[in-house]
Amino acid sequence: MKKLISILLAASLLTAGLIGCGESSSESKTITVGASATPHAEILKVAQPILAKEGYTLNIKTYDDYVLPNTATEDGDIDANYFQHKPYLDSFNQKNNTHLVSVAAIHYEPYGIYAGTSSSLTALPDGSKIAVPNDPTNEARALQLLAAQKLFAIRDGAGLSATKNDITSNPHNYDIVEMEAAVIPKSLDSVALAVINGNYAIGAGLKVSQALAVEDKNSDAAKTYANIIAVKKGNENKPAVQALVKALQSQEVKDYITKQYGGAVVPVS
Amino acid sequence: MNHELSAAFSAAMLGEYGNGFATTLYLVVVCSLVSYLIGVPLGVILCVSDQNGIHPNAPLNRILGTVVNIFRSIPFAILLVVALPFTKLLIGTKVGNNAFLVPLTLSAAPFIARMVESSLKEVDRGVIEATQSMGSSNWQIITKVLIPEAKPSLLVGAAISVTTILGYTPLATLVGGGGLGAIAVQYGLYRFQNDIMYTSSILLVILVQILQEAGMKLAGSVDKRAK
Amino acid sequence: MSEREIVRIENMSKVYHGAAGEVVALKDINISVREGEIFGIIGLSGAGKSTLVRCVNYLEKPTSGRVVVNGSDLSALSNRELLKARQKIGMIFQEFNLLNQRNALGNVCYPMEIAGVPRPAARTRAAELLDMVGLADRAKAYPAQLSGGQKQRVAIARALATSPKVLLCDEATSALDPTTTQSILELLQDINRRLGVTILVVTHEMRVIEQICQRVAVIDQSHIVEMGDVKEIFVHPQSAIAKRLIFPQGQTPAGAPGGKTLRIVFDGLSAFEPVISDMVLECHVTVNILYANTRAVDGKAVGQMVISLPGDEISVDRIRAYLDERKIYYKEEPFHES
Repeated sequence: MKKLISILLAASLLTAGLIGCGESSSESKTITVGASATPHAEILKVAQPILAKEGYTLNIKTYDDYVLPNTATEDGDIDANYFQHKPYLDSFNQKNNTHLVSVAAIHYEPYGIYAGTSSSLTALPDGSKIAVPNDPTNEARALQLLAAQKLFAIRDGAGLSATKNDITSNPHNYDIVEMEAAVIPKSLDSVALAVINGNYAIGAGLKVSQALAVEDKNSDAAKTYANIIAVKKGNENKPAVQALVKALQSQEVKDYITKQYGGAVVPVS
Repeated sequence: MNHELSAAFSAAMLGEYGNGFATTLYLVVVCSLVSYLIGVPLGVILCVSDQNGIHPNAPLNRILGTVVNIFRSIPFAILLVVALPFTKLLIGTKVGNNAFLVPLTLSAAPFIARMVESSLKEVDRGVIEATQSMGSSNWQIITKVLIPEAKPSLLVGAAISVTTILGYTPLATLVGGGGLGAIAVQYGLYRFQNDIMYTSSILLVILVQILQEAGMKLAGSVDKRAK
Repeated sequence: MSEREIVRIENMSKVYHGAAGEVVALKDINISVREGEIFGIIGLSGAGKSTLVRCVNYLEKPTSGRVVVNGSDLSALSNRELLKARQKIGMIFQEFNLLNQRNALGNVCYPMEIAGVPRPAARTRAAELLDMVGLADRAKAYPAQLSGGQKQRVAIARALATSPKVLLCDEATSALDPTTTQSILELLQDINRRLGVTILVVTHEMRVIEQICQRVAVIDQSHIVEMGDVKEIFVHPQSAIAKRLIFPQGQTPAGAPGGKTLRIVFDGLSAFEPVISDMVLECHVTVNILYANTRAVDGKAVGQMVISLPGDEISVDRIRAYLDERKIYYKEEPFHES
């Protein structure tokens, strides 16, 4: 899942999708899903005809931010959403008193360490700058990935809210620069290494195969950060919701994902 | 809740606030100085080349005015991203406080140009005419009449400009910069640590108030038009 | 007053090209001002007087014609030369136009700073000038702390700072009350006498012209319609506009129906001669004073009085004889509307 650009940035950097009231009659054959533009909405588009064959109409609503789709689902304006991973959902529920549940995991977007001014993980000069996203879960994920490459050590138990303050030992004194995730791909010439998620990397013209290191498919990271379909508690077993999950987990969609995103998006098997 | 409170005021955070304060001050002072260095001449030219100015030059006025307007209407975040290559050229890096200063200044300078232009235009035309009748050159009018007579208005404009710049400093977090605002956004807002968010925001507000008040008082005390 | 010509305006015209088309502000202006005289320019609002006076220091550039000041043809000067020439032409304005962020001393120093006079010398001279206009004790005051009359005095001191030969006054007393106007006019006369500064006075008020000018040009709708000695024009106004400016406005002499009025002009007679009351006693006549606008200037009576004449010819003859004897100018007017 990508983390938010700051609220101030959101409106200007991304094209705003229309936010309106959606239909959400649970017994009807229409299902409205809120999603991020890429890759989620694109994947949903592929699922649309599959659902149509089952007699369901899939309405896709795009959102720029990561708060509104959850509140809309909670309020019943949309039936489900597809943009976040479970850790974010849990945190959101806790902070905002919402009652959303995960129905199924669909894909994950591997984080990669990309070359900046240096293309080696082992021969980095002391004091080099390493860019990581500055929002909570993404920064934690990035730091864990870097720690797994033995660049520095993180305090045990720092977990999903690790910040650079949780680094316990940093023998080479790498300078961790916390910055806006969307700006990192544009600043590769100013840092030694950068941690970027698959989707932003593709958007910046990088190939996942170019990454110096990537989160492994079977790693905990992959499982934990899989992007899910979320609904309001009680709606998990609605026929339309189940049909949606089935469509998204179909081979057709899996093939599309694998082919379309060159490794930046990986279907959960 | 208690855990959050102590987090907000832990030794580590207090150190952060101190750093943040110093960084914010650094950003505001450097940006203001450079923006004024660019903005004042721009504002003077805009005023002087206006059709009612002392040296009308319609093509120059139109072109300059358009450039200024364009920069003023680009949303800051877009300006920041678009200016990245220029930032690299100028500073040598795209990340950090100094890198942030580049788009901040590019955004502030046109704003200041318009404020300066507006202040200078307030100077009584009769007074300008009188100094012309005494044989003042245009340069003398700019330096000895326009700017001194507009001093109170220029100071008010400075108070507004500096506090506006201050208001933009939280965006430093976009490129890995620091400051009180960055702390508020990164640790407070993103990590839902409300107490850190409020504390650093309040410190920021206090700083704004101090600067604004000081600016207005200074403007008032140098204005000789008050009896 | 010497015979040397200090300002000559030759065949000058000024046309504005605006969005509404062409506006002729001045046409065929020919004026010659002698060194040391006080020359007036009078007209109604919009007649062109302000434009005219601004052509004398080229704040406005004439469309055609020449302006020669102090021997220099202003149109032939380069920009730098023009700025230098302006240092010898002072100007004061209706709205004073002082620099608000400078005190009185600073204002008077300004023209000297422009001319490159070193600071100490400038400040000394500025203090002298402020003393000359009677404001020595207000040198540190800012314009906001000064009255209208005081501000105009500072403006006068400022205008004299670089020892100009000519002083232009654009409606200089129009924003002042009558008493203050009086004192400013006296100051201008004083400066003219002591320093020999030629003064051009632009105004719409006849009493200003009467009081201090020797010659006057009357402007109406961009033309000069009358020009000459003030006394002459005041006594024998030819043009309609001059008559309008000289005769009281809005006063309808309510004479006896079909009756005549007599206009008596006081021109430097001693104010201590009670002309009218003596006339009434000696001639055994009764008269109504319909209008009087006389002032004592330098101990002499200046102004005019309009009286209604008695009906019978004999009384009128006696009055005529009385006035002729004392060489008092009068003119009989038929009952006229203003």
